Amino acid sequence: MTGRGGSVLIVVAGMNALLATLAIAFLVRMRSDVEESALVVRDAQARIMLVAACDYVLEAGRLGLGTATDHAEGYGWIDVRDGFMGPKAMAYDAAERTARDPTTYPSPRFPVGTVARFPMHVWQRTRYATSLAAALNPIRTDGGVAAMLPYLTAPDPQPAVDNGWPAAIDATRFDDGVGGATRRDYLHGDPRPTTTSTGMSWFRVKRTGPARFLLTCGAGATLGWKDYAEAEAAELSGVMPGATQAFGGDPRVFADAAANEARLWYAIEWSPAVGGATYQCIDNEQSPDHYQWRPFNPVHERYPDGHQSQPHARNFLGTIRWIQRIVEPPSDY
Amino acid sequence: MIRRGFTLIEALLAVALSMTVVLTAVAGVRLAAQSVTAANRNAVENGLIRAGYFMAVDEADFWRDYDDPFDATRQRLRGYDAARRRGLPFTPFDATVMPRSGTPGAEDERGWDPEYQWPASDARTWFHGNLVEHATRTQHRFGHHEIFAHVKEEPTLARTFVDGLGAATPAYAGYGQVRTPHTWAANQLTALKNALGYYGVTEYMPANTIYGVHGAPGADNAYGSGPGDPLAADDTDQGLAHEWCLPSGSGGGVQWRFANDDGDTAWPRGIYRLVRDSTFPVIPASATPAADTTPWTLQTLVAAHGRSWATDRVAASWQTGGIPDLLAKAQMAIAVVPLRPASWPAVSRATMRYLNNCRFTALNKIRWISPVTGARSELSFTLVATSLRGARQQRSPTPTGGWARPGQPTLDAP
Repeated sequence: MTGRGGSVLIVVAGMNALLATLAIAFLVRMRSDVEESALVVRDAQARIMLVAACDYVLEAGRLGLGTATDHAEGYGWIDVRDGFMGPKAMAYDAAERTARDPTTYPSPRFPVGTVARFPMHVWQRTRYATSLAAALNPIRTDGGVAAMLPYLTAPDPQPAVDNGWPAAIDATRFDDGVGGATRRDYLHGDPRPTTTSTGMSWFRVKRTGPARFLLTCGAGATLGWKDYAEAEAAELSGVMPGATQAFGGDPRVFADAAANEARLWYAIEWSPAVGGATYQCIDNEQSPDHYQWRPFNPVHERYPDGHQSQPHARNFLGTIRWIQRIVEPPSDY
Repeated sequence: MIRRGFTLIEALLAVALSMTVVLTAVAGVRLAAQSVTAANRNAVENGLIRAGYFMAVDEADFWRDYDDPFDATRQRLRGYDAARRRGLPFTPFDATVMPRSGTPGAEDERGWDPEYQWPASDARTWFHGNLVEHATRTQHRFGHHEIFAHVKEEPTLARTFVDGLGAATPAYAGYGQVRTPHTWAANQLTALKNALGYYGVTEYMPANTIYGVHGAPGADNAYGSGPGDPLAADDTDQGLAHEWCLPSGSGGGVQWRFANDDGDTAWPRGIYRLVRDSTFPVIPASATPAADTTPWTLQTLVAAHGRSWATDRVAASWQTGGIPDLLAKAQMAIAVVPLRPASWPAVSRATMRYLNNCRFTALNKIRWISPVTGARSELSFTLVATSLRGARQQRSPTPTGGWARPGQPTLDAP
């Protein structure tokens, strides 16, 4: 090699090394940024689980604790009828109320001390899923079939072509078997988890009092097991066969997942009160509009011909009275 | 003959080519270096925004900006105005503020029981009035139900009312002295309002509360300034306590009106109607706690927690400023990194807690200013997190006591 060629080689190699160094520095910085951002994502995910857990507490006091054949309505974590712990379908009669202490007599379905675990995932398809795909308006607008005239006489968008649908629309339209889909599929959805959504977030609910709960909100791959021993115990007792298989039967895998997840603890209290025992004057004080007027509880009319209108209850499942982040991780959750 | 060296043209070409190569290389290296610099700058900015996020969510869960459980100098919302008998959101429920007496679980129980979970089956927790009954333009807006629920156990209900709709309507005779069966809820409502302010009472009471009580609480309602003040006339056994249900509108300054003036209505209301056009905020001791050398006085803070803030308008003279005034007093701005290199973006976070339109809101804003372009950006979000009651239950009543561990005294049970 000539001296000139050697010099060129040194210069080119030097520049390449410099560029490689810069590239590596850039990539390392970006990777570090992404890893740090993952902490934010996990924290946010765990906080979403707080909302999910509160929703569970609200709904489970009224719904969902019956059997497959008995979908009995519940009346709250403290039964609004008799003051005993619920949820339960039947209120206690006078003799039962006299014989029992409402503050200690256990709830039949979710007694104090019970823990429930909820690993979350996204369904392949939710119930009643609809597609955002744009389609032609299927409503006939030719006016030939009076019963099927749309609400608007000039709907927008207009069908671009004659859609050829029959005049009568019935349930069989959902069950035409196209692509194997049936009406039942539409009603029930597809609960199989999407593969990218599993092992990301979960919550646990422990009932600590008649209306009080300790929530654990997690973002990570432990599926909400408190520790490996809990999963192992569930497996050995037959409560959940194969519980440890999610971790390959290896406690170290669980420990690694636990070390990389976010866990937040909150105490909450449920209240049977629904929001807003008041009215909203939807017609702006005095003039009737197209909503109902003079409904139930037309409170405090200012004038003899006045009318205030409907109550403003946001839900019918109760409310969360207070939320308290637990400062130090509790030993028993 | 052996030719050595270059011709001039060869040399010039070689120099030109070399320059091209070198300039290209320098441009490439410079571009790469600029990319790394930009990446570093972005990384610093992202890191500060992440720090701001974690500080914001930590604040949402622990309320340290409002009350630092380790620093007695930053616990000004624990104050109590003894002259006016009013507290603030972090005032401990001690024997002065919330004295306990009576029989636990009975109507005569007074003070705060942190373990009581307000079962709907307990008649103590019910609203005992008739919202439908029509007796407008009197102070009889629960109907004649002051004989069932009252702040006093034995009020004198002697006054005769005349329905305001016309002379033809009959007069309603008074009852004389009665023994009222339900006094617990009215006293809880009054005591919580006086101990915590308006934001606090709305958070502590159940969501379906009707805010109003029969009978004035007497000396507890110490804000009346004398004859002619509507609050002074409030001290009667009959009729509704004015502070709850008479809207403001009498001018700026201290108003002590829980009700807003929505629709010119003047009767007890639920939380929706109360905060549809107005707001109950938590007012910090200072909007800029790190730099403020003149924090607000106790009296100012107490007054700020005892009024309804109009937020259906940007500004109105009779509402002392509307939304801008509320933002100026309720929103705290805190630098994420107070001392920073000039090349770092200025990142701050803002916190504000308020009740509006039935929603208890913990609003967080992370703002940053680019040191290069000066561009301002903001990330705004709300959180479901620790409520005021949860924050009070987290804290030791001892000024430097820090966090309360399970079973230890708290601000709710000192």
